[in-house]
Amino acid sequence: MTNEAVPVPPRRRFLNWFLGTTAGALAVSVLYPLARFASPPHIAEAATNEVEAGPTNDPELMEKGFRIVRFGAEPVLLVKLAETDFRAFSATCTHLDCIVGYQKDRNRIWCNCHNGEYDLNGRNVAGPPPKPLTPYNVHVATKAGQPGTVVISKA
Amino acid sequence: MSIAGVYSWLDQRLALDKLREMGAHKTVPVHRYTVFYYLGGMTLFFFLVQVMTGILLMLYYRPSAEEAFESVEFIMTTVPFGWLIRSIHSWSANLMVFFAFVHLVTVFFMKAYRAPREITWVTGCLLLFLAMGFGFSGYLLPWNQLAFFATKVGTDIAGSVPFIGEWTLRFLRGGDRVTGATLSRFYGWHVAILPAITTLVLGLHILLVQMKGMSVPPGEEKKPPRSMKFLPHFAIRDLFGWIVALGVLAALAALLPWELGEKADPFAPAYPDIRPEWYFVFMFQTLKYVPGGEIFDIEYEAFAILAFSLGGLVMLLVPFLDRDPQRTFRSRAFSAGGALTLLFMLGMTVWGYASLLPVWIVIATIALLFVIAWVTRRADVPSAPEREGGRDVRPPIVMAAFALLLAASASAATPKSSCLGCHEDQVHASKSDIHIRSGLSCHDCHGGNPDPKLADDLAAMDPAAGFIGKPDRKSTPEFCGRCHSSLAFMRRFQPQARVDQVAEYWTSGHGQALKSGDDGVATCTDCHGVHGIRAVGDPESAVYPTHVAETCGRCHSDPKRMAGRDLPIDQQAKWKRSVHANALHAKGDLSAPACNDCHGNHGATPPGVESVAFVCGNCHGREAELFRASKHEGLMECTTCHENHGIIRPTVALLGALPEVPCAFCHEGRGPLAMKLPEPKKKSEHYQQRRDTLLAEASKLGLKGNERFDWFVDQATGLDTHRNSAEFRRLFEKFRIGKTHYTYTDPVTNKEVRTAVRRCDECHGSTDVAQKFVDSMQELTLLTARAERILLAAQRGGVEVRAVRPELDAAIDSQIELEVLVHTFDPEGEFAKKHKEGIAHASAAMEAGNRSLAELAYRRKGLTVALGVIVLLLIGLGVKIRELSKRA
Repeated sequence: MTNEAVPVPPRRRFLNWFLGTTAGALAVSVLYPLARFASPPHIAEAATNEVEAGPTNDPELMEKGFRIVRFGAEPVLLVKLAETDFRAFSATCTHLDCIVGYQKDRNRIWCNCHNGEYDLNGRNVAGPPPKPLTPYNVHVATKAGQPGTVVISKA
Repeated sequence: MSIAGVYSWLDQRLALDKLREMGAHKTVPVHRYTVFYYLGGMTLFFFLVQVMTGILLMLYYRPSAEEAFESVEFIMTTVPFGWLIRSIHSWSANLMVFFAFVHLVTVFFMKAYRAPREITWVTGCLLLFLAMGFGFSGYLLPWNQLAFFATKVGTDIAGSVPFIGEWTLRFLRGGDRVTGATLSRFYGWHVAILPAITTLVLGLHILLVQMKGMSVPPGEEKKPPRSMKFLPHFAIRDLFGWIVALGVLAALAALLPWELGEKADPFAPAYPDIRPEWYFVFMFQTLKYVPGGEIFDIEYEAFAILAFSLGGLVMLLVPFLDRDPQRTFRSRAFSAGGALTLLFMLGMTVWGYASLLPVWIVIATIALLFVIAWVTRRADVPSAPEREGGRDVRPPIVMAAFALLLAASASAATPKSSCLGCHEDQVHASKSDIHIRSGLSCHDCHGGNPDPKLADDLAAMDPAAGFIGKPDRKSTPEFCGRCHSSLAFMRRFQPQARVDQVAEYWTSGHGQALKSGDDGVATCTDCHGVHGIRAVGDPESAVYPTHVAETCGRCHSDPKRMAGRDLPIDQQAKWKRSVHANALHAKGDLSAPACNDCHGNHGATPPGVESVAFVCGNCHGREAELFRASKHEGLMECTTCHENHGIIRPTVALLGALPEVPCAFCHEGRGPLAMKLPEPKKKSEHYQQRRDTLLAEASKLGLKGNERFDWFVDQATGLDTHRNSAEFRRLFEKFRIGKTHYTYTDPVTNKEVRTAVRRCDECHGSTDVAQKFVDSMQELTLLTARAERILLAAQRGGVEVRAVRPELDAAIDSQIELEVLVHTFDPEGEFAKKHKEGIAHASAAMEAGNRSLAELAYRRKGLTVALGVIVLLLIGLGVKIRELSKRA
């Protein structure tokens, strides 16, 4: 190993610096593509502004009082409170990303993962959720002689 | 804590000092073959690259038949630097096998397998087998056609091994066929099983190399030993090599990215040049020359496979078989055997790639192999065909017997009658005659008594015996009609045969003339022949689609026969130059119309003017429909523009309003879009220069107007860049840029006649409509051609452009539809809509192409930077190596 008593000549010092720098540059030029490769590419999702969420008398909706609807890639909670009273919120719990449900008997929106509770306006009322659920607009499109179709759109 | 503190903490736990001490003591012998010691390290480097890139690829790869190809395509096109990682993985795999193999060869000839390094050799051989296993399993993973068939063949070969073959095949494939199950299985082998085994074997191999040190070849052992320290002298040289290898990998990946191929399709035929990875080619090639057949239920192929397996086993056991080196330090027999094996493998590999190599290289290599084989002919490795005991003589014998049988049955089928005794000259013709083949004989048409026992020949031709003899021309139709108009009779031979030919004939121009006493017109025998009448579907029949024009032309192109008939005689000459004749003769499209398809066959008359659009519309339905709905309906006919016999392939020249030179269609900006997406300056200058040179040449030749345009079309089609690329050939075909005239040979004067194509302005004077058609087509043509040029440039650079191709295809389809929509004679309505659609597709293709070019430029820049860094580092290392050597 290097003898510390003998001073390193400047030529060798420069050489070592040069080697270190180029090796560092090489490391960067190898690691940069690797890091870029490992980070997943962004793939644009088609923008969704409105979806049809089935008829107003959907059996599942009638029985449980709610349905999870695909809004593009997002799950949306559609709640039927009365014949003409529909509400829709983002179904993703603001606490840790679980999917919430509606409890008809207790008249509340409930997240099973950590007992998060929201009221029927989407406000976080009990448990750990830090923020209210994002609301969506709902209206019923009607055609003569047919049951209405629930339409959910971005608020 | 100081660095020394951290070190000492680690040292107490990991015994770093001991390792350092070991490193410091490790030396490498120095002699003339020292350079070979770097090969193992090089193989290790490529292996490490494989591990790293392989792990990265697993982040995106999906091992299922449905998704594998798509996921690799995603890696190649969408993931940042995905093309780089995958290409490096593929290139490095090949280089790893290559270096492993060279490493093995040098170790073999340096006799480094001698005691006490037998296990090092065995583990090394196992590592080579493992590397080949990696190659074989990894080859399938992109799930493309090449991989699919290589795997099919590879596993099938394993299946021909006696006794265990079937099990092996099912085990490898994960079932009876190569399917998604095979893919899952190969994936498992590739990323889990083989790596686990390799880690163990490689660990042992490297450990043994460290423990036993480097072997010195026998010839060098007697010389005084010299050595260099592993650290830092050998290691820094190793590092130098590794960095060179890294640069080579980067350059290969950036300049020659690994292809993606076509997605595997189990129901598509194999490519003509399917072959496995190059390191399997010598086996593949050998197996090709093993004749098919079996002995004791074992296929000949199995013997070759067993021989290869045995070869592998012998290689593995070399240290135990070669007992010689311990005594004499030489084992000539083993060296010679090794050399011959190597030569065989090299020769077979070169042969396997023969179709990709210039012929002289192949011939020279084969000659060299023969010379070497001759010189060293006491060797025990015979050439492939000899091994199986010469040629397989069975096929020629079977073929000869078959041919004899065929000839015998043919002669037996010819009915014997007394007629042929005198009319011998008819024998040859009658053999192929449909009537004879159907079991009829001379007397069935001509009447008479055919009994060969008749004493008098003339008795056979007794009118009392119903002899008719040769009918005169006028009665020929009825002569044939005796059978051909009889439903009851024809049914015996062909239940679906028509019986209305004679009736039709009498309605035809020919029949009517014959009836009125003109016996110079065609009757049955003039078209169908007399003796030797072939079936209509027989390709040699005179009325087979490809012969119809010639048959009709025998009379209709003959000035003597047509004299005084007030009919043109150049129809056949013109038709020969038509798009229909080209389709029929050059493309073999039997549905392309010859004379009879428009004029009818037995009832041949010219179609009347009212029916032309219907006749043409039989095939050109869409055009006829558009035409009938247009304002030209009733005013003119298809033939007004397209002519009747000389119907050449329609081109833009029919519209007139052409630009000065045809080049403008693809190369000269016109319209706002072309201005918005200009061609690169260099390209556009290169084109302009070329055009100006040609223009100067044209004016030197005194060419002007249409003549100059036509001359330019010839120049353009002759250009290498246009001719040699399938993509540009397609554009030429689809864009319909053609000459303003065509030529045919006049049957009377035998001279070339030059005929201008009909153009809109012949009737209309100059027209805005034609101008608009040409302009719109030119705009679309220009953008499409430019997009194609950009895409090809990107593709040549290795950027995957498959995803953009459908856009370009759609643009070309729009162009084709525009050509049809010309028949609306309205450049606004449907034509304008389709034009807009085409422009949208072409622009999208062009923009995507420009993005691909930008990507290509980015890759090149990245490569330059990386190589720059590598070169600098190598210079530094070189200086360091010199300095270390001086100090030592």
